[in-house]
Amino acid sequence: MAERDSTRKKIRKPMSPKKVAIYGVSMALVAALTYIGFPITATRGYFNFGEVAIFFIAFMIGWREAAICGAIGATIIDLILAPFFAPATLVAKAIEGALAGMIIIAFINTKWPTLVRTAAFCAGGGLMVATYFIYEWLVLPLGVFSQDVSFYSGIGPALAELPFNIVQAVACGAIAIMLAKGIERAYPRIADFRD
Amino acid sequence: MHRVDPRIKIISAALLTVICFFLSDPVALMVLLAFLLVLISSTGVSLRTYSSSFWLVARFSIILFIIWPFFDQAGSPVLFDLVIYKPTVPALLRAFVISMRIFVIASGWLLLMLSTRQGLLVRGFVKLGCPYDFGISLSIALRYIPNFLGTIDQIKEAQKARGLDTSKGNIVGRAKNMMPVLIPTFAMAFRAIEGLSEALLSRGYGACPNRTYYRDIRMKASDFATMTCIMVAASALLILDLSGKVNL
Repeated sequence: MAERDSTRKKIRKPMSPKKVAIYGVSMALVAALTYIGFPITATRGYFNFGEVAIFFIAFMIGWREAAICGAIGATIIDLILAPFFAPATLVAKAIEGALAGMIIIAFINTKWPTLVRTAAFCAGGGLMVATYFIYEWLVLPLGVFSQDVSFYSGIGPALAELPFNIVQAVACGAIAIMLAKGIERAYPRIADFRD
Repeated sequence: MHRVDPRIKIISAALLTVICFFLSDPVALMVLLAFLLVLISSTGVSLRTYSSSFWLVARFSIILFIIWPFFDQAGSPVLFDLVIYKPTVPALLRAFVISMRIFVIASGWLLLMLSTRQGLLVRGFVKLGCPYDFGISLSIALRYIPNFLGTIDQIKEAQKARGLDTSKGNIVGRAKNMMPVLIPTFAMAFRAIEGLSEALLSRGYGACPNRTYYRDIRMKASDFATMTCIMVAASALLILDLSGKVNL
């Protein structure tokens, strides 16, 4: 009997087809929206809409989907365009999606959904910005710090990217809130997708 | 490179990324980069595909190289003194190491992406322990990315014909102007989810939890040899770097 139980435990229950479709299409959506965007002349950076998809999935579907699809979808594009950012993207987007989604679930029956969504994107976006900042400041220059070279030496490139990342998170969060409202009206069956 | 088992390539790319964070010898990094460039050229991928990816990496590296001396002014000799900007030779060498590191990591992952077919890449991840459900989700994602890019372009053109202008204004304004493009894109994505889940269900997805494979990937003797070579080279590089570390 015990043997049969252990065999049962080894076979993992597969995901439902709907879940597989949600994960697949959401990853593709995050990747496609990360790919499209426009260059910013002032910072020489690139504004993309990947964050919009991550926040939207966190608002409308669930935190697991937002974390996994956000992380993998954005990393797929990073591996092609800027592979040195891929490790940071994998962690940053996963944290961002998970935190934003968890805040939405914690206040699911709220009377002020816009306020909760704003708090969710601020918290998730804040952590995403912090993760990229730490990666560029401390992880990329790992090994070059010594007694003569302080940790502050590497802060320059990280500071240069910081305002751009903040603008990206705030703008995408605001768009995701407007988008969630628009989609709720245009496609009411979206409620069936919630985790 | 195309014939090497995808698992070997995935492990090597991950190993290369980890090793890069420990290597601080510019010569070791340059040797590694040269080796990777030779491997990339052997994949037969056009220079155009390769240069478009490398342009973004180069841009970031150049910015990093210029900004780094603002905060790192340790060492001597000072090349020139512009009050707050005093680049020293050791500081520029450190900036060069980080720029090289960025190039090596980028080359490693580009090599994996350029020399592995999508199907094999996903199968490699599944063989490495990634759940099959996520493997198939990843396949669906890779299949749908070009579809969504095409859809977004179509919607953008249609909205432009109705008077939408997404090229003018500041960042927030331009981003806001994308709303008429994003709403139909998301609505289409959710319709795609419904259609796809029905298609998977009708094909009996998940009916049998124990999956079997028609075409399975197997490690060949050459793959084991490649893996051994990579391990030896990685260990040698690390030992050389740690023992004769350049004093930056």
